[in-house]
Amino acid sequence: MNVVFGDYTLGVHAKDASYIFSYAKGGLESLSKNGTEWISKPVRPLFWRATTCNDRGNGFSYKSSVWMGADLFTECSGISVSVDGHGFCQDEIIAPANNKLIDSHYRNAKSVTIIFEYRVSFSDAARTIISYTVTESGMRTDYYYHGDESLPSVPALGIRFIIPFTLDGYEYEGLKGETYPDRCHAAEGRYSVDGLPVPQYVVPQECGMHIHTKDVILRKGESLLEIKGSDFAFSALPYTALELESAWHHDELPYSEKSVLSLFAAVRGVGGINSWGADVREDCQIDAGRNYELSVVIS
Amino acid sequence: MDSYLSDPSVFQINRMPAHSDHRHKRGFAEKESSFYQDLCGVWDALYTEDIENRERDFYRLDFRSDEFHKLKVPGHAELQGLGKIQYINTQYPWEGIEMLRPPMVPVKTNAVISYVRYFDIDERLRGNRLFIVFEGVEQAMNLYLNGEFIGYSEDSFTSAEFDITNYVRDTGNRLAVEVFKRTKAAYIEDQDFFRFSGIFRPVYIYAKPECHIDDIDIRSTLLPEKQAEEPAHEEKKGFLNKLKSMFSGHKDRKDVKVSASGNGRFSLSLKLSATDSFQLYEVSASLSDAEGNVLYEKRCGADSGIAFDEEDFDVRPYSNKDPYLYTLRLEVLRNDKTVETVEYPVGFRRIEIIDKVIYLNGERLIINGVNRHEWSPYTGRAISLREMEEDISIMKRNYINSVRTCHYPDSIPFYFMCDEAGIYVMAETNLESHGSWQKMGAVEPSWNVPGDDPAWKDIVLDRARSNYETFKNHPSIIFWSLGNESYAGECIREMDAFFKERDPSRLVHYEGVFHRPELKASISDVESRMYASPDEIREYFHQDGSKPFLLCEYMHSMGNSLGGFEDYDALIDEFDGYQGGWIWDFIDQALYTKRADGKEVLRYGGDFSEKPSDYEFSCDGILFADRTEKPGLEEVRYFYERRIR
Repeated sequence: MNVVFGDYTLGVHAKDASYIFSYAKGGLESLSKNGTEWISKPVRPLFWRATTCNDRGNGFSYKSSVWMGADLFTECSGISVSVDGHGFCQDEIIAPANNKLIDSHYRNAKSVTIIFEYRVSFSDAARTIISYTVTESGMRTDYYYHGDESLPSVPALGIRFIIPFTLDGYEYEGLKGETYPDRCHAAEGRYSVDGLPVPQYVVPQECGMHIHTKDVILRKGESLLEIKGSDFAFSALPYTALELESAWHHDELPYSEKSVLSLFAAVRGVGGINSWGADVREDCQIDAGRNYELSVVIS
Repeated sequence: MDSYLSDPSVFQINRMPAHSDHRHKRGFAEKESSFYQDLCGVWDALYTEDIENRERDFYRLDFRSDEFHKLKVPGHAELQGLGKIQYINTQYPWEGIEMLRPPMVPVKTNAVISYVRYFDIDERLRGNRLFIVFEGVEQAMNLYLNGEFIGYSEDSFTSAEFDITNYVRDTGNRLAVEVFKRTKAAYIEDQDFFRFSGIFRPVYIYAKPECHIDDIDIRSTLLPEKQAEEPAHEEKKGFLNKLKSMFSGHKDRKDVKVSASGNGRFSLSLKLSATDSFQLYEVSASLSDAEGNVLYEKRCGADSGIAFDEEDFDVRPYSNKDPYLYTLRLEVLRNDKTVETVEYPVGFRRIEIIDKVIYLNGERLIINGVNRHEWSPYTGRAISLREMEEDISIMKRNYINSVRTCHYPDSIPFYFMCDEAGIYVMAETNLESHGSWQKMGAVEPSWNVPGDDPAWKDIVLDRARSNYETFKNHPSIIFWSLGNESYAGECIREMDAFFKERDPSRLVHYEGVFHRPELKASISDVESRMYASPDEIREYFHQDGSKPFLLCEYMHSMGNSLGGFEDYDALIDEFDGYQGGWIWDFIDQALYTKRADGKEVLRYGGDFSEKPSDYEFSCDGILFADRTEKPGLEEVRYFYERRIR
């Protein structure tokens, strides 16, 4: 693979796929496969799923609202790169240090890893790390969340990819229909979904979750993107969590030509006992003090 | 204002007593009964925002109505451009606008619709005794015909029937109906729903021939298993107790014995009316199975009251799994010529409590239930037969075996559909006074109605009676429910006593007595709760457990919900007395309206600028308002399929 040590970015060019990681924007900026660009905006961690009627009723939305800010605004606090096992700290790859790399053997690599570390404004302890390892066979993506027990419960933890077009649909191996940790007695199988359906809860809210997933293949025309893991959750929707959160009616949701692919390390349940106080079962809540991780291969 | 609107002791004037919901025909072969004349259609309607300024003379023969609005009957006025659409939950709809205490009637928030309709009597009905029926008018109505006052009725959700024989002409009749959006009945119709007004269920006239069956009372019971016939002495004692519990409260049946001649017991009594002597008429009754085999046949001379002898014979039990129906055929004859015929479905089943567990036909009852408001996203609570049929088929395919008619009697055809589908019905009486005892989430019954106030006793008893008399013959009904969230007191205790006295074959349900445990001994056969957590239910069984336990509402399906179902399902295996519950609820209450740009969109509470409102709390269905399934229904189906029997 050809490695480009840019002044702003790190480019990695495999046979079928190209990747650009932005130091400036703090995340994966381009994933191009066979001429199709899959990334619209630099990839960032997510901390929010739109709250449900039950969340609003039991005060979760209020108690955990700081995470909504984090979902919108995180800071990339550190970057490191490793090429075929050789580690570079940030200073060793950005200008002017990169001048020395123009003819180095690192320009031709079998494996390139870039690690982004993110922080939220309200905690020194909470850290999110997203690590991408590119090889000819694809991009392994690892997500780690290191907890801060002083923080309120989180609605969701994971990575959000904004895809610049509306998917034709997707296929996944997992559970039938929309599932959550406390609502997942659905048949296992391989399911195909046309378009990006949004369940019509009258007030737009969290929806479209698929937990216990092994594999997802996104489809746009002839172009496919596969996300493979052992047991992860995902949703593919035309809207971000914040867009869903802000709308009172479906027709107030913005015009969207994008697809929002969210990969989750942890998902909060939806609850059901009542909508005016009962919390989600404790084992289906996300404890902000714990650590969570997610590992998938994107190809 | 007419004084009776605020007088709890006047809830009807000249309304006919409620009776069974059978329909008579001129012969068994008749497809559509020719005794009935439909009056639905487009009526003239004058809308007055405030009751004080209503047009009092509109009923007069010479009052011109051609300039009135046109309103579709059945239909709500608010969904046809007259008056404000309002959704509100527990708060009374005049909250923040008028300060009232029962039985004061609102003025500013009390519109009147003055309907006028001209009609001729169909030739086939002429010359008979004629009655007009309004199956649902929200909330109260004065009826005038040809300039004369006919009567008054309240109770939005039960039929109001009036004798118009002496006022009606063959042609050129002028019907005038004054519909009040609110009367004192508003205090006991505070259901969590959109607040509408108007004639929202069918209106028709029917003819009674010279001799007519006014009321049918069918008693069809599945008797206990025959193997219990000759038990050892000790067992026998237990068995008799079992029988006693089965018929407890019914004086005539204390001597009941297990029959050797069959597992089904059938009895029938009728009330008749005639224009001349009963002696000219005969009545025949027969019961046949689905294959046409006749099991029971009687014939006798007509009389105002007929009680046929009880008989036992072998029957196929009625259940959700096998909703086997027999057909009762009644015929009134004069000189062997048919005067009228009636057909009615009959099912044989037995609901009983043995040792604090409810059994249906000897099997522990498990309720896979759902609460259902009648709802159409286009026409509100004026729903079509097609929508009712769709609801039934959605229930069947999702293993829902029971419906609670929250919180009022449903349209009559729905009960027949439940009979056919084997959907067990909790038939709820039209009563809810939530706003009179719960304020800001706290129990605060300082002005609760009906409470212990004798002035409110008859008005609620009348609702119980209407519910019972109309629907008493439906095999699908296994519970009577006294109403919803009306706290508890002497008036509700009397309602319980009414049902127990009239109908020992079914159980009585009421949740609100939870707030007054000292009344539990005399209100409700079951411990009913709403939204109790699984741990609270365990606590009930560990600390009390004196009655079988049902959740009349659980799994609040508002928005994206229905999580944690397995925790309730587990209770079914933990406690025999835990017998399931009814999910809240079946369908989102949202309405299609047109945006400024003409696009059709679904809107919910608060979207109509109505204040105050409880906003999206109107949408708690397992279905979206357009009857498509919410994703969480997958989970319901999974657990309900496991428990269906």
